[in-house]
Amino acid sequence: MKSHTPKNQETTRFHVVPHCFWRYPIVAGIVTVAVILLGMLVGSPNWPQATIKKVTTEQPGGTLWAVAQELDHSSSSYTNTQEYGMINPATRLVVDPLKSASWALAPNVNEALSQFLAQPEQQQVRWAMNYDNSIRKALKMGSMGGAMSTVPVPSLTMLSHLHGDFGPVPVIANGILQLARNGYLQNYFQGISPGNTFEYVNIWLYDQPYLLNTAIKNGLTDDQWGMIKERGFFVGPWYLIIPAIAHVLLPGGSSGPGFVLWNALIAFFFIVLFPLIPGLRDIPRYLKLYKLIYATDNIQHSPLVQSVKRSLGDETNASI
Amino acid sequence: MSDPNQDYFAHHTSQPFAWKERKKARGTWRALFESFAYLPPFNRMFGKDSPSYAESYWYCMGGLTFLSFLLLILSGLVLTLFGPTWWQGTYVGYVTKSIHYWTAQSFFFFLFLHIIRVWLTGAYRGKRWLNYAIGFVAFFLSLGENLFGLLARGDWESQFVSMHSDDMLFTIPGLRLISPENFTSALIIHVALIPFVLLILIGVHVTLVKLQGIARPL
Ligand code: HEM
Repeated sequence: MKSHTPKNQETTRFHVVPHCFWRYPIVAGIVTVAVILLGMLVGSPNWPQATIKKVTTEQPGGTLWAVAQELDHSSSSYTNTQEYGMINPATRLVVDPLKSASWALAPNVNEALSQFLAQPEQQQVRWAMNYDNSIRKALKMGSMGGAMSTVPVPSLTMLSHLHGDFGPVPVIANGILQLARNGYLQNYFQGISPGNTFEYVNIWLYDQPYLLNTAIKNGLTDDQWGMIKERGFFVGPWYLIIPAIAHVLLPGGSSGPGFVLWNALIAFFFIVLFPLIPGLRDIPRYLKLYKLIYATDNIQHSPLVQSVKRSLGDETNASI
Repeated sequence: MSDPNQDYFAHHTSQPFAWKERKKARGTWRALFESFAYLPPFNRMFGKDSPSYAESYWYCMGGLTFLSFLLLILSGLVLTLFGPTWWQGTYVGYVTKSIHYWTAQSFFFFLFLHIIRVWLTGAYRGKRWLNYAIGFVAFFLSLGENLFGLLARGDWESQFVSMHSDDMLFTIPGLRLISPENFTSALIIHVALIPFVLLILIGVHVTLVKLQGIARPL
């Protein structure tokens, strides 16, 4: 055996030995069989998508309220207007679908829509805002629900008792509800966006209280460490823990730009600072945890070598 | 060996199968399982000796990450061939999707162990920093690959995450033109764009390990 012990006696001593190739097929086989077995026996997260029909059937009051918010420009879909294809949600998600289905709607809905469109935008928004506010008041909500708590959903009975200067907005909202419940709306949204089938469906659904409420109940929003969890499954993407920490714990990390900035900073630290800055890069040497990693050198530790070493005296620090 | 250059290139010459000698030196079982390393193409690829400290299982973690990556490509190809209707609507499709899911778990599991071993042994020192950086870029890109895989799945989680990220990550100027609920584009990004770059990065990473050799001990 050649000795490869470097001159510097500080470093771990070693020999060049025949490599343990026999492990490769065995370990690779174990890992391959393990993932196949896990896939077969444990499965993977597979919760069916929510459809417009299902959501509006379960929570029709939420749909009426969402229409009010789309018309008064306070719905979450206003965040998405920069995307290709997306325009003003009041037009895209309320007015256009109703126009497209005028042949199937009751005359009073068509009349309500004409009455609504005949007015300037200011008046349209005022009507919708009155409706929106009176729903909030009936639900005893503040101006904004907290990020972590679910939003209450109004019932149809409750909505039918509301009175105020709503103009044609409640009738319009009921027209959308009707189209949503009989499945027309989902088909319509998918049909007008064949290259991006779920764009308007998901944007529309995200305006409903249903999707976010369900996520909050299941602990799946970003603030609830949802980034590393899966609905209805016990193992999620735990390896997203670094972005998740940036999002949940670091100041400003919950906004888009803050999130990206923190991740870039963390990456910079690990890629550049940690391995290059003197002091920082020496931490592993001081920690000495490499002792847990390195395999013991069987030659250095063989009884023969040990006894030779003992007879020579330790101070020689001999390496064979 | 008299000529030092000879010593260096000895790694790359093909090795004879030499069953009898190997059996005598290593025992029947080890010799049997090591046979692949003496058959083409591996007989010209791997050096047959290594420093003793690197004989621990910790040094297999990068290799197991690589194995998981290959399994991800394999199961991903099957999923791509048959499509979303298949993996959502049939049992075999669901199992294949689940194998893909658990292989991703295995990829990141071994990758984290690999990173820990690289840190604790200070393997980023000197010229190996470049490969360390390449590895890390591949790691962060894998996290992005994960996001688009999630969006391409087509279940409740995809639906929710598409909108939740649309109101966070994808509100940033530049990124906001991307529509994360666009299943088709998420699928293309996940199966073609990012894997292509990852394949190159991981290929370069593993090749550099081969060229630079394993780092000296601390
Ligand atoms: C993305 C997937 C990755 C794959 C498939 C991969 C694969 C490998 C393989 C097979 C080795 C040979 C030695 C060993 O297995 O321990 C290796 C070495 C190395 N890897 Fe990775 N790696 C990956 C990611 C990373 C990351 C994220 C880092 C940064 C921490 C990294 C840093 C290194 C370094 C510095 C070496 C040289 C180690 C030495 O010379 O002792 N790799 N990698």
